[in-house]
Amino acid sequence: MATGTGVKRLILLGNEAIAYGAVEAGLGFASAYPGTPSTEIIETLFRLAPEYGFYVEWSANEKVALEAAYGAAIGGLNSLVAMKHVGVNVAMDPLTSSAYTGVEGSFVIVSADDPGMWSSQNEQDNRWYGVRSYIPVIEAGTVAELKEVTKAAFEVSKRFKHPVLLRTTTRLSHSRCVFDVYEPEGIRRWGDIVRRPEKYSMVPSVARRLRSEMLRRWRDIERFMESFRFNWLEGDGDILLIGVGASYGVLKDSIDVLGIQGHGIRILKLSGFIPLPKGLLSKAFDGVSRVLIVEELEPVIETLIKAWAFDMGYNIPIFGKKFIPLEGELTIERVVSGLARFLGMANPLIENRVSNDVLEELPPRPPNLCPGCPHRGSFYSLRKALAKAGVRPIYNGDIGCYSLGILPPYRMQDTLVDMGSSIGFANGFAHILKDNKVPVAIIGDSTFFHSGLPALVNAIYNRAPMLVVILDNRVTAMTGAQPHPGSGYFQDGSKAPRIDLESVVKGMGVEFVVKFDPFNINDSIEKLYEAAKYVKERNAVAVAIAERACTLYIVVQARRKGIELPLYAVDMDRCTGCGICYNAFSCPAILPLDDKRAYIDPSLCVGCGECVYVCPHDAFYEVKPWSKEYTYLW
Amino acid sequence: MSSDVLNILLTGVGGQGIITLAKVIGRVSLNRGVNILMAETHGMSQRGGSVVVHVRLGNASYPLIPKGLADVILGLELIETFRVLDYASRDTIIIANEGVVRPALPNIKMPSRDMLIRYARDSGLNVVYLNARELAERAGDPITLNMVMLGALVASGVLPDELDINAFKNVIISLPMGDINLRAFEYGYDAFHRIVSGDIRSLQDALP
Repeated sequence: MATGTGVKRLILLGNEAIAYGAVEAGLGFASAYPGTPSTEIIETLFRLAPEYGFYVEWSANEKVALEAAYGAAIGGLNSLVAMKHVGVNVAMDPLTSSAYTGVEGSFVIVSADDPGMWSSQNEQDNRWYGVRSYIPVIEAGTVAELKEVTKAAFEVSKRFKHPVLLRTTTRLSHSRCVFDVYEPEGIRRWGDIVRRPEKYSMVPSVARRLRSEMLRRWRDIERFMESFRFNWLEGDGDILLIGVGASYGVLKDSIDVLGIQGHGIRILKLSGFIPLPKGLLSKAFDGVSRVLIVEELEPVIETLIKAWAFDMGYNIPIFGKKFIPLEGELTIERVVSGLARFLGMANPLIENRVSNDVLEELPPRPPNLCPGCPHRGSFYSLRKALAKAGVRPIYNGDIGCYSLGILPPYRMQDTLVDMGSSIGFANGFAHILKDNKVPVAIIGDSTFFHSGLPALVNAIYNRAPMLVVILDNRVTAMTGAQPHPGSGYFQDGSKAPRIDLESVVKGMGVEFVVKFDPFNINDSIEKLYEAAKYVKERNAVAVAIAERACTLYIVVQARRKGIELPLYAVDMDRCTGCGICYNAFSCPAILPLDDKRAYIDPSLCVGCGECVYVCPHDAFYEVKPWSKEYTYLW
Repeated sequence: MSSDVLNILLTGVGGQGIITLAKVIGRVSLNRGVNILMAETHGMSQRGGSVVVHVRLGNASYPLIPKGLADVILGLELIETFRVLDYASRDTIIIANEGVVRPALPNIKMPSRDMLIRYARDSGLNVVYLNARELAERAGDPITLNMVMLGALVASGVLPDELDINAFKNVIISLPMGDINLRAFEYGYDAFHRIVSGDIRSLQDALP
């Protein structure tokens, strides 16, 4: 807590505030697999670790990360594991049992949910996981509260030696505001294990006893959460508005927009809502005639409160999703609209708007593969190679930057569901397709280590013919170039053991393995053609590994070191304006002039040189060559 | 809305330095003790997509600006400026870079600049256009376009009194390439005043 010494006032990203909160709570161990919007929590902890001495790692996937942190908590430490919402699905197995065993220190599981699906495949609401797992769920009501609420999560966990789910959302995690940061009271870095198989080895006889113990503990936690200091009542009146988690902030600002503060409105703020603080609810319900529950996504608290109110015999209307949208992120205007309908008021935001018909005239601007991204060359070459081999592909994509291969002109992601699903789906398609139709699995290096390994083992064992293309760019690129088991270094740049993809795949028993350099289009087409032919003729698994580092990552390093980038340009006499480079290849650094001829924007070009291969008219030429220093970075 | 909140929407294309711009506003607010809440909204984390940053100065609880209630829209790219018109009302001050960046998609139809500017005029919007790229180049590096636009924002006079020009200069000079960034900021600041006073002919007046 505030000691007054060492206090610093900083502007922090929500995720940074969670990290600082964990450190102030005496963090000893942290692990995670990167995933938006959770990534910056561990990145921040990596920055703070040298000063405070706790242990922090990028794990191979969320299940391993959760087990590692769970283990450290069994060893008596304060530990944290962070992941995006869908990562929690991967970790559900140990997560569920962690509530049975409890821990010796404290164990905070951060679930960063993504309402609105800004960078995710679904918008699942992980508060349900707390309900079905007997794990308390805590969520800040505003960004400014994040750090202290994180500390409170550790306090609850430590008090009951029970896991706590700290839920955050994209909006909390990716907003910035001012925080006062304090020195931690003490960090425990080393733990100890007292051997207690009767508590930590979940054979059925132990599990049955632990289930009863867990249910008893849950009742204690329920009583404690009655006085959780981030839950409170505000104002008074006969209308009760309940703001759940981050929806409290939206509710407050919406009440401001409507100008109804102090007009017969009682507000219940809930930040510790699973288990339900029933005593506080009774107080909140006392004398009110109508209730509206404002919560983002699923009617989790609405369902629980309605069941409780039925048992209690309350006979008043309780609303939630009837007025508050079920889909997407909550915004002030959406809550104002629901609130106005609930209260029978006019919506003041409607007349304010200006016409936006112009939107139809605007071209979309999705995120795109960077200029010089090796994935572009891989997609381009792969398509040419498969056509040459007479193969009709089903492209199974995966989670990573290469998901953007779904965009025109490539459109090479026919399926794309979850981490590792490329090879997983191909396992199904391989056994049901005929007539030269071949499943192609396109998967990144980090994703392959995360969950491609068992899927490939399955393909080899069950003789599922498929072409697996592993796009090895050395990092987990999409979330900001974090290192992984194949990188060869740790987050701080120091040398790490490097797991070699080619050896792994060969060791599993893949007989056809080939590597290619996506910048060399001609050679890539040739190698991918051989691989496709092998799958077609031998009906077996072939693996092709694209080896080129993430361009964005290399360019950032080059700029930092003052290394000049190479540059290409267009010979205007040779360019015919065919558009292959900016349409079929679609490099963002190559732009069309008014007469359709191409030109290269020198501020965007990183000198990959792929355009030289792509142009049928030899119109591209090198202006500035690759320096020794630049070549070394790659 | 509680009248003590100032809503500023920053918009542009990934890579234009919007996050840096927002961080400067954040730093200045921290130094001057003004409450600030900021949120970045952009799909995935790569370059080249639309980027929007919501900045709320004052007593706000939730970081996203309600549609129709932006006090200022600062647009670093023209198409992106028009993409966020949902947030504007006729009272909104829109400060727009007139430059257009082509999205990296094949065979797209680009809207004409004249059409956009005419649309804004006919809708009764309150827009000030700047050629920020030219000013940034004159300052020494096109990458300082974000600071040109920040200069124009400060010049517009909408910010709270505590966030004065000196507060910004102190932070900007401490950035990498501080001198060039500061020059760009000053060019943007001056250009805004000269456009508003009619010293420079604005794009809107040049329409047929």
